[in-house]
Amino acid sequence: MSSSTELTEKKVFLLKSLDGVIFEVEESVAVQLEVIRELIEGDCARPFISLYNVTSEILALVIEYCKHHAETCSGGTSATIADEDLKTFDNEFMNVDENILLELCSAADYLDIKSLFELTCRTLASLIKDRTIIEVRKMFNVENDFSVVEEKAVRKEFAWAFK
Amino acid sequence: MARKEIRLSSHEDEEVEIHGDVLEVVLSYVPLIDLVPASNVSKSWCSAVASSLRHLKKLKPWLILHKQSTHSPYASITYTYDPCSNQWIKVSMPSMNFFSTLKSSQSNFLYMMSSSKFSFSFDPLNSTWCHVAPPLVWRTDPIVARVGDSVVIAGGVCQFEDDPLAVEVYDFNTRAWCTCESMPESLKESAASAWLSVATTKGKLIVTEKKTGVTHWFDSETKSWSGQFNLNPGQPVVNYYIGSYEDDLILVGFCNNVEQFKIWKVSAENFYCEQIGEMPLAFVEKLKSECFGFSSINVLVARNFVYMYNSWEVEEMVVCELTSGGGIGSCRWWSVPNVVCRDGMLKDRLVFTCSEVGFDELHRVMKMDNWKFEVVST
Repeated sequence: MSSSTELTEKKVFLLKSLDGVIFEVEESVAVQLEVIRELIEGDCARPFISLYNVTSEILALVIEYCKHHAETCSGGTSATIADEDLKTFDNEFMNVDENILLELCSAADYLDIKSLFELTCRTLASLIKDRTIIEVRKMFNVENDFSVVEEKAVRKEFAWAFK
Repeated sequence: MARKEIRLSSHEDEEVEIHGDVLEVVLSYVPLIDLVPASNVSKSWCSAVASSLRHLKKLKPWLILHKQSTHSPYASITYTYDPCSNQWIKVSMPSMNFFSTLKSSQSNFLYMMSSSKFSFSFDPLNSTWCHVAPPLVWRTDPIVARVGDSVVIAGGVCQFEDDPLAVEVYDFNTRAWCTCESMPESLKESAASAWLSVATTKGKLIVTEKKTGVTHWFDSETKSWSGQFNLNPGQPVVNYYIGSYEDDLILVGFCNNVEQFKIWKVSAENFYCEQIGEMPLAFVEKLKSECFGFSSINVLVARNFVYMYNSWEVEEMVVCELTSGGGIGSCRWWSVPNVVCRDGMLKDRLVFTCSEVGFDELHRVMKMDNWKFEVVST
């Protein structure tokens, strides 16, 4: 296949976020979203796809992630260099506040991007480690639904986990 | 992770929550030790922890290292290694009366013995101890193992005693010792824990001579010995170590001709050996002692985990996880640096056990007074 046909055959897709922003992505990026890959494989993909659960802020990040992964994997670099590069990128990419992280995690779940879902879950897990119960509640906006008596017992038994 | 600062309130107007299914996946990446506080965050987190443990997170047996001072009062500190999170955890517990040195000759069974007292513990984190009268025969290096509702103590007899093969059983129900049939004559030269490797399966105590593979078994029901059977993996093995695996046995053997450790699954019915793995040479090297070679290897087995170390040089331990499927290649190998530094090893004794620590057990112990768990950075 010559390079000119490749260029003409390069398909693009338009992804519309919850708040109406439209992103143009190449097929190599779009297929990393398992939900879209299924549509493409089933030949049901229209060039314009609405993603009702993802805001433009998060979708931009998701596309950045998929783009980088698609480029690194298809570039001519050796597997170990590519791995290292992805690792550095992922670490950098996860350097966001936990609300963004949570939204990225649910977006990855909804769009079915396995590597991003695992990455965000692992990062969230590392935030739970070594934190006090109060800190975890605050960080993840968890309402303490224990009764006063239950909470008192927990605080007594696990005093070290509140300090 | 590069993250240094955590902003807590960037989106205060929006309530971002972590939903049930996603939370369960996130929790499956959280080390067991951190799941206990996580289960106390809220009721929904508590059920997410339970559900994550039921469906997603597979717990793995811990290696436990008891570092004990060689002098009275024999103070002891415990370090545990969780293979899931690859973390060492220092466990401080209320000081108990260690009247003697800790010993273990079977997975997580720990005991102390003096002329007036025999104490033992076999719960996963050794939080509960039973103190009973000592066995009648004075012993220094016996095999001690829990078999069903009893503790079997065999061999390791002091020189001035009459029968070097004496066996006694402590029954948990009658709370008394009884003398049983002595060990078979063929074990006369090797009737001590230094020379025998032991495993328990289906109410039987199986003992294998480390040098020869000669195997006998003791039935805790009939209180009698059977055998002999010679373990024969079909290859020249010079050191035999056994452990229980599912309802069968695991044999770890050192093959002298190729300087390699191999693992066989051994049927508990007919002792048929099927090879399931070989240790990569890089790990064999880690187990070698410069002066003593492979003469003091110890092997601990819990469920599908095999932990191996050289008691002369315990800087590094080798771990093997037996994955399902069976057959050659169903072993995953790695090594773990010992968290107790060299100085500690010179001043203190190290006793190794391994055990399956579950969430409920850890939760129970973490609630107890004066127990403290700290992750050790390595």
